[in-house]
Amino acid sequence: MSPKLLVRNLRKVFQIDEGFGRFSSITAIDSVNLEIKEGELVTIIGPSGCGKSTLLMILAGLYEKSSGEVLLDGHPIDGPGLDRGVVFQEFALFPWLTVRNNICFGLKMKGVPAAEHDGIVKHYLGMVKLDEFEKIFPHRLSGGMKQRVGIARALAYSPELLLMDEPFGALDAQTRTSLQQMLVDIWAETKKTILFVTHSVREAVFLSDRIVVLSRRPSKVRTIIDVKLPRPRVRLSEPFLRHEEELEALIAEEIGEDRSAGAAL
Amino acid sequence: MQRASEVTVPGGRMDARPGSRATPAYYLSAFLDNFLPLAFVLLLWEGVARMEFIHPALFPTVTEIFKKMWELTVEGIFLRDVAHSLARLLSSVFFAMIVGTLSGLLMGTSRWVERIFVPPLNFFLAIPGIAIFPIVILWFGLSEKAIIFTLAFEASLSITLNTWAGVKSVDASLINAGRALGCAGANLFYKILIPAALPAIITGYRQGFSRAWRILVAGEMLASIGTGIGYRIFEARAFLASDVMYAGVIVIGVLGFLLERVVLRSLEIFTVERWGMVREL
Repeated sequence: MSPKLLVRNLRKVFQIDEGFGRFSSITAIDSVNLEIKEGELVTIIGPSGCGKSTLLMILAGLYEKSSGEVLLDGHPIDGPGLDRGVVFQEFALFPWLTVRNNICFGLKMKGVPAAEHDGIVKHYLGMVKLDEFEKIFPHRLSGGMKQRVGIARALAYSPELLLMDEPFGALDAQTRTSLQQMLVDIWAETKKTILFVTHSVREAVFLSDRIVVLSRRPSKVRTIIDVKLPRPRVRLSEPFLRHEEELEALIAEEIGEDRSAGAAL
Repeated sequence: MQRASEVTVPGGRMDARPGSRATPAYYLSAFLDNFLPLAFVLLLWEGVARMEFIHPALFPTVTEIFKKMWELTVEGIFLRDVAHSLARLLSSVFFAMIVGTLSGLLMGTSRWVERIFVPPLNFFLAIPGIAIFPIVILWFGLSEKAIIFTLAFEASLSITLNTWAGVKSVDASLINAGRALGCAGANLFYKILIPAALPAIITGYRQGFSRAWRILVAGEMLASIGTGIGYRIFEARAFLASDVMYAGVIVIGVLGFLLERVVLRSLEIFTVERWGMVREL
């Protein structure tokens, strides 16, 4: 079976305007190769500043790639599109729209008939357990609730691929844990292909079918770990902790290298 | 109004927002907040004027001024003045809103437009609108057009500046979210950038109105156009009709006040404040 998402030799070089006429360039992503199967939940993890969010933004079409190839269902990705849903770390809900209209935004852009909006909004609000909050403006919601709306908004127009950029990074520990469980439930229900960027090893082990470990900048895929833990997963079980430890060690190694090279940066 | 927004408990019930259905008590308190301080000033004025420390021709009592205002109103002169002044103000600010919002949006989104527009914008912002008025009179004569052009020029600069700054400071994640949700080109403008920059755009309108309002009065005096509050004050000077002059000044103040508190403030309450984009105090 051909992969849902194929990333080949992806490279990203940023041109940085230093001001006063000086420019410099920085290679964020050196060469990334990746294959993701239909219905997989894959997380990308790596030392901070390694370009994992950059990778996701390129897949979302929000950043341009410098070279390489990205294919979704065999078609090259060129710019943003409604075949992908994006969930942002900063939630990025539109404050001038109610929860309902935030969720409807993608539907309208996609041209889904208005008669169907009601049903769709109810369905996804139910999925993220926010049924009563349709008419509320986002500023009145807590962080966890905002991100639940963010997830509903990204799912509502049924994209092929869900891209999540450290979506729970700004949330407190309890909210984070409960949203991780909610995401796994949603994934089981919708069978979406999900690519999830995180810096939390525990989060990665809890969520993933596979974990892509990126090297420090300029990033390459260092290794891909198959998480063979049965679901539902228990965070404090022995195999879970073993996975977590292994991954921790791998990343610590990367960060260690980063430190020794840090003086040059 | 902050009290009612403490309802962010997951699964909690939402209170109805007090601003969405105003109660009589709300109107009463709004009225008192706005007019009690003014009433105090007027009362003080009346008292001081009645003591006649200053010659009544220079400093008439409030009652006399209002009596004159009433006379002028009954004669139809004042209403016509107010109507003409407002028409000039509104038509020029209307043009300025269109020009200023569009140019500010373009400046905030295109690097080239920004580069080309910034130097002239800064140059013109340094010039008081009334300074170009004599030149404008050369073009348009002592006419309605000259006043409206000068006002629109003045107001559009403020609106451009604020819109530009507002668009530049729109959170990048909102733009990214808009693009990810299928917005591009014109869609990105009116679905994302305009609402996201609205707090700054409203500030621009507010500044535009007040700058235009100031110049309007001066312009009416200079253009001797025959109507308008500014003209009325200027004309009264020739007859030492101090009550008319004071009445005119008060009307200018009241109209400016109403524009700000009723029109612009309401716009703010029903948009950016309701959306939580600016703080309610």
